[in-house]
Amino acid sequence: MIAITVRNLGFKYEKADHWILNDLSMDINKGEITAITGGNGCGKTTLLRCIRGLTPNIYKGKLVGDINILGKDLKEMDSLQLVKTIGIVFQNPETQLFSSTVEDELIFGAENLCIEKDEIEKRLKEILTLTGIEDLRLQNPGKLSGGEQQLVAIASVLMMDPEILLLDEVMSWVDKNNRIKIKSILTDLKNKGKTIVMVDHIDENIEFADRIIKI
Amino acid sequence: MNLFRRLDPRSKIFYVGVVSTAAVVFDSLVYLSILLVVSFAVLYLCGGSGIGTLYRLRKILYLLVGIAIVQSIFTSEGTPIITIGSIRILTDYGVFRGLQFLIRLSVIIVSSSILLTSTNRDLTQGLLQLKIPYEIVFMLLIAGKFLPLLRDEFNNKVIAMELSGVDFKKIGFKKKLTAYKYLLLPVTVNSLLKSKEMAISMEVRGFRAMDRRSSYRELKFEKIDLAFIISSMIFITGLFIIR
Ligand SMILES: Nc1ncnc2c1ncn2[C@@H]1O[C@H](COP(=O)(O)OP(=O)(O)O)[C@@H](O)[C@H]1O
Ligand SMILES: [Mg+2]
Repeated sequence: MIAITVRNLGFKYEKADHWILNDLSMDINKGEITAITGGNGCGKTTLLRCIRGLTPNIYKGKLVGDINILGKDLKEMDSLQLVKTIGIVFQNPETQLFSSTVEDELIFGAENLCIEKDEIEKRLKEILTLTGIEDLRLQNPGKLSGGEQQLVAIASVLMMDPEILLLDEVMSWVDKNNRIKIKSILTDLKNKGKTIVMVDHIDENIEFADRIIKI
Repeated sequence: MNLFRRLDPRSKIFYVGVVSTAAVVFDSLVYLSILLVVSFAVLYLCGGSGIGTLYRLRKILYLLVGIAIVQSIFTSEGTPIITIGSIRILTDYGVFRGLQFLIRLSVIIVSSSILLTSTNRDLTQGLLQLKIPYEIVFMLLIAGKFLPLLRDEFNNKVIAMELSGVDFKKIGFKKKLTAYKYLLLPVTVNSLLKSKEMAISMEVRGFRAMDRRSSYRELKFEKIDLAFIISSMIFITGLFIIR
């Protein structure tokens, strides 16, 4: 089954004079890890922004073509549907974490979705274990290493239990051990039925993916 | 062990509100001093350090003392204490006004620092449970994050300049000012970009996606809170009555 279809996608940032993405089409399978690769500045991050529906409303520009998410036209999805369906982890961990403890960081999204206290408790335990950050629970996210921060960012998104997970070069600030950890977390998630799209330009980081798409 | 350390942030907010109001209303140096002493005591009991607070605020304190002195000198009513010829330099009323200003602001500053003895998350939760809209509470929280962001950004740029051979300790005041002027724009732009990214991160995690929001944590009023609120009420009302 196909989770995401992209058809003839084009995007040009406001005030820029060339199209970053041009007539791009791809299908992303449900329940698989798909890696998207390509040179620096070729528009990988931009593609994830488009799929997450951040263009053209938050990142201004001209968007053409169609994106379909789990059978729905992206243009017809409202912000709540998008939050619930697609989680995204950005490249820079520093600006993604804003709470004063890891625990607060994790519950932030769940509270926004109005999830009951007991359910939050349950997810918190589960996800802290899955990502192996139980020990960091009461620490300040701003004071963690890049790798730990990225784990916290991933965990924070998982708390909202999205069907699809988009990851933008999450391995780039991360040491070798944590890279191995992230790969095993992603494989776990895949086995639970999640669809994962990861962007990375380093071959070693994406060999474990089910499919690799070069743009 | 220490009961005061378990105080609900809402009780502290109540105390700060009442005491700051009283500090604005009271004119007498004696009553203002009582407020100051009591606030220091509460701050200390809540786990804050009075001396530490004063030390951190030393620059503001210098400013306040400066203003107090200026205010004393420019007040011409009252009995002169120091005169040069027929010009009254300092009058007793001027000294009174200066001290009043100093103590009044100290009461407000010291009592407000009682709030800082609660953790960030408790304070946030307290404000939320006081029914302050969460958009506003988070705005305050982010503003609190933004300033350190700005400072870090600034320090990074200064270090970068030092690495390229500028010795900030040796160059003169005027050159330093010029250097800072050149730093200001990129630092501000960078911090703004960062805070924009932060806002997007919040949004993709559902901030304001729904009208309501659930709460994992919940603060509960305990007996100590009730006792604290009642005693601060009695204390302030008492001062008002005997005034
Ligand atoms: N917010 C933006 N506004 C204008 N141009 C942008 C913006 N973000 C990225 N770009 C430009 O789009 C191009 C592709 O960027 P990006 O999608 O980040 O590439 P990649 O992630 O593959 O390195 C780059 O040339 C970059 O300068
Ligand atoms: Mg990128």
